[in-house]
Amino acid sequence: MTTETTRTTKSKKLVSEFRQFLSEPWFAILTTILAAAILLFIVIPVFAVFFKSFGIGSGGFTFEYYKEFFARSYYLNSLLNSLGAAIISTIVVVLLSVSISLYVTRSTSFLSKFYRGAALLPLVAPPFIFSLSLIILLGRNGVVTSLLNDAFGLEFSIYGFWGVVLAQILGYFPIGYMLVESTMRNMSPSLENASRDLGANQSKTLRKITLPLSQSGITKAGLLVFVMALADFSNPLIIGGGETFIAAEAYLLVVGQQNLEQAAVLGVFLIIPSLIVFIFQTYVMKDSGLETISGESGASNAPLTKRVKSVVMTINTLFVSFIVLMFIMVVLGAFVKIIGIDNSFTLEHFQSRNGWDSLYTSIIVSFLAAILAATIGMLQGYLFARKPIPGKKALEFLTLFGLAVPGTVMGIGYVLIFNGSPFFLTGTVLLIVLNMTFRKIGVGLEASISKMHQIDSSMEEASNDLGAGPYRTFGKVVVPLLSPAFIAGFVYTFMTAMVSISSVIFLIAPGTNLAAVHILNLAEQAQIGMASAMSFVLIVIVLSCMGLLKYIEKKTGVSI
Amino acid sequence: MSGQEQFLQLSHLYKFFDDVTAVNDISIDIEQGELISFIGPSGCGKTTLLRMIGGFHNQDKGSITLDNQSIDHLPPENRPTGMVFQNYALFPHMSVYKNVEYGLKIEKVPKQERDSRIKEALKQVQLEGYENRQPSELSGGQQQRVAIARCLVLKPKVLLLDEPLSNLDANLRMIMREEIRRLKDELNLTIIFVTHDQEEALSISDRVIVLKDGTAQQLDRPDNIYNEPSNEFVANFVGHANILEGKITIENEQSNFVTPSFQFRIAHPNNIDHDQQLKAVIRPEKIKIDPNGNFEGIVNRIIYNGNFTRYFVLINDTEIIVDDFNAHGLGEYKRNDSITISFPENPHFIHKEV
Ligand SMILES: Nc1ncnc2c1ncn2[C@@H]1O[C@H](COP(=O)(O)OP(=O)(O)OP(=O)(O)O)[C@@H](O)[C@H]1O
Ligand SMILES: [Mg+2]
Repeated sequence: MTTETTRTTKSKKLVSEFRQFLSEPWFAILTTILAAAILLFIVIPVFAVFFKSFGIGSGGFTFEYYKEFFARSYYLNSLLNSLGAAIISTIVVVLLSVSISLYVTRSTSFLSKFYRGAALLPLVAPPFIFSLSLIILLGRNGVVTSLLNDAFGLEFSIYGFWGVVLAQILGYFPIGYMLVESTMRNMSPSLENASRDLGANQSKTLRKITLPLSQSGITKAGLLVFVMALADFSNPLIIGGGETFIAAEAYLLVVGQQNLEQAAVLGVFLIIPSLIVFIFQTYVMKDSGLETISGESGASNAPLTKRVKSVVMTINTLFVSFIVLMFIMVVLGAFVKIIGIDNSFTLEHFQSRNGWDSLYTSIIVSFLAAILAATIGMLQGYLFARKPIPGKKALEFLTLFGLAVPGTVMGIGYVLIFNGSPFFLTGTVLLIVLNMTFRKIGVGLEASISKMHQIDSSMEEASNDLGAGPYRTFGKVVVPLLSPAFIAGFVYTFMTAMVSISSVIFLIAPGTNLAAVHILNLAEQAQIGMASAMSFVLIVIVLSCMGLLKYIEKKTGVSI
Repeated sequence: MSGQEQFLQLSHLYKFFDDVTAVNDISIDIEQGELISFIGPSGCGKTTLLRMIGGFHNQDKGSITLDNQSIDHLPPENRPTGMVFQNYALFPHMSVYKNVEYGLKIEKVPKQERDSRIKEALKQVQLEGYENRQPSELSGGQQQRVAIARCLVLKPKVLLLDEPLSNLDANLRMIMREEIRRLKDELNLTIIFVTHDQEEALSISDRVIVLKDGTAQQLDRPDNIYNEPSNEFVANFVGHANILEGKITIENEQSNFVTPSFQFRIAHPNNIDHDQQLKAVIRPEKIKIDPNGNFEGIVNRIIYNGNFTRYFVLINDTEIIVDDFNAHGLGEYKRNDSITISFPENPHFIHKEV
C-alpha cells in the first residue's frame, strides 16, 4: 500500500519534472545533447572495453582472454608490479604529505612558502618528468651513477621497479599533498589548543587529535594517489627496465600486437579499482560529519615544538630538495650537450622540427579542449544546479566518472568505438580534442556547481522579474557570474591537456603528434637532451599559464 | 592587601605582534576564588592576554606567577590552567565521556578514579546521562557544559573562559551566567572571563578590567567601574554617560559645576581642586525628570526600551541623555515637549585628559 502510494507520487513528481523540463525547449535540447555526448564519449567507451575483454564484437563471448591473463605469469606480474608500486608510493606520499602539511599549516615563514611551492611544482610538468630526471641522475650513464662507478666500481642503475616507485612518489605527490593540506587547514586550531590545555604535549596531540581528525582527507588522498599510480603508464615505459606494469602492458598490446581483446582484459583490471574508489568517494566519504565550527577569534595553530619540528623539517627539506634537484636536472639536461659526459652549453636540443610541430599541435588541441570543457562544464553546472532535469544525479555521476577512468582504459575504449564505422575518427585532431574534453569536464562541472550554490537564485529571479526571459537571464546574469568557474575549468583543462598522455597516445597519428607523446618517445629512445629540452619548454608554457591565472585573479579580485 | 602574595600575579606583561602592541604593560593580582572579567572593544587584546595565561602565547616581557610559582616557562600542557574555547573545541571524534576523559588519561589516572571523577564533573555541570552522546548531538549550551566539565575534571587552579557565552541565545546566556557563578562558589574556582558584553561582565564578576589598545584602563569592582569610571573611555564603554566639561566654582559656601552652556549645584567634593578643567560623568538614570527641577529643556529624540525610555533633552544646545523608568507603562513625553530635569548633587569627576 505505502510503497504503491510513494510510487505514484514519485511518478507524478517525475511527470511534473518532465513538463517543466520541456517548458524551456532550448535548455531541454541542450541537456539532451549533453547527455548523449556524455554517454558517447565517457560511458560507451568504457563499456566497449568491458565487452571486448569477453571477446564480444570479435568472435563471440569467451573467457579465453581472462584465462590467458591468469595463465601467463607475465600478465599477472604486471598487475602485481603495478599494485606493489602503487601501494608503496601511496604510503610514502601520504607520510610526506602529512609531514609537509604539518609544517606549512603552522607557519607563514619563507621556508613554509618554499616547501609549499616546491611540493606543488610537479603539477606543471608532464607526469613522467621524474623518470627522465632520475635517468639523468641515476641511469646507466647517469651523473651520480658514473661518479659511483668511477670512485668505487659500483655498477648501479635506477631502471626497474624501484625507479618506477620513486618516479611515482615524486609525480603524484602534489595530488595527495593538496588534499591533506586542505583538511589540516580546515581543522579548527582550537581543537589542538584544547588538547594541549588538557595536558597532552604536541606529539601526543598530533597522534590523538590532529591525525584522527584529518583521517578523511588522508584516506581520500591515499585512494586517489593509489588509483593514479596503479594506472601509471608513462613511468614504467621509460624507467621500468625489464619489469612490466599493467597500463604500459595494455598499451604495448594494442600498439605492438594489435591484441585489443587482451589489452581490454588488462583495462578491466585497471578500471575495477578506480571504479571502487570512485564509488566509495562519492557515496561513503561524502560527509564525514567531522567539520568543525569556524569563526573563532585570534586562533592559530601552535607552532611546532622543537622536537616535532626537527623531525618534520629534516624530512621536508630532504624531499623538497630532491624535487627541486629533479627539475634542475631537466633544465641542465636541456642546455648541455650530453649531461654527465659533455657538459658544454648548447641549444641544439631545442632545434628539433618534430618537437616544435608537436608542441604546436599540443597547444592548439589543448586550447580547443579547454574551451570546450569549460563551456560544457559551465552550461552543465547551471542546468544541473537550477533546472529540473530527469536523471540529473546519474548524469552528474557519469560526468565525474570521466575523471576517474584511467586514461589507458579510455584510450582503448576510444580506439574500439571510433576507429571504424560509423565514425572513422582515429588519427583526427577532433578525436583527440574530444577525448581531452570529456575526460576533464568533471572539473568545470564541479567548479560551476559549487559557484552556482554560492549565488542566490534570487539574482536570477530578480532578472526574470525585471522582464528578462530565461535565456536572456542566462546570458546576462548567469554567464558573468560563472566566469570564474569558466576560467578555472579552462585553465585546469589546458594545463592537464598539455601534459596528458596515457589516453591520447592511442589516438595520435603521424601528422598529429603531441608534445607529451613526443617527449615520451624521445625518453624511451634515451634522447635525454631533446626530451629535457621539450619538457623544459612545456614546463615554461604551463607555468606561464599559471602566472596568467594569478594575474587575472589579482586584477579582477575574483578568486578562481 | 599590598605586599601579600597573590594567587595569580600578572606583572608588566607585554605582547607584540609585528607592528601592534596587543598587550601593553598589564599587571593584575588575582585572589583565589575570584572571578575577573576582561572587557574592551574588539582587538583590544583580551584574547591575547588570556592565551598568555594559558600558555598559548609567550609574553615578550613580564612574568606570570601562579600559587607562588613562575609558570612563564611552562608549555600549555604543563600549566595548571584550564581553558574553555569560544567554539568549545570539543573533539568531534569522541563521545562526551571520552572528551572529559581525555585529560585524565594523559595524566594516567587509573580507570576507576577516572570514572568517578568524570561522573562528578558531569554532575557539576548537570549533564549526567549524556556520557555516550557525540558532540554533534548536543545543543550549544550542552556543548558549553561539556567543555567546562572537561576542564573541571582536571581540577585546574585557574579556569580561563574566552567569550564562552557569545554563541548562545539571550536566555541561555543568562542561565549559563548563573551556572558559572554557582560553580565558582561551590568549588571556590578562580576564573578569568573574557567578554565584550559589558553587562555580562558587570553582573558576573568580582572585579573587571577594562582594556583598550592593550593597556589597562581600570581594574575595579563592577559598581566602581560603573559609578566611578577612571576616564572617559571607560565611562562610555561601560554603559552610557553624559560627559560634561567644565569646572567647579565656589561662591558663598556653595559649589557649582559650570559648563559653557549652564551650571548646576553640587555637593562640595572632597579632594578636587576647584577652578580646574574637569569632566563630570553623569549616568542617564541619575538625572531626574522633576517638575520642580531647575533646568528646562526640549525633548529632541526618544528611544523606547521596554523597561525604560531614553530621552535626549536639549538644554542650551547641549544634548543630555535622561533615562526614565517606565513604572507606569509608556513614557510620558513626546518630541518637542518641554521638560524639567534636575542633576544629581554628586556627579563623578574625572580629570581632563591631556
Ligand atoms: N597571531 C597574531 N598575529 C598577529 N597579530 C595578532 C595575532 N593575534 C592577535 N593579533 C592582534 O593583536 C590585537 C589583539 O587581538 P586579540 O585577539 O587579543 O583581541 P580581542 O580583544 O580578543 O578582540 P575580540 O573581541 O575581537 O576577540 C589585535 O590587533 C590583533 O589583530
Ligand atoms: Mg577575542
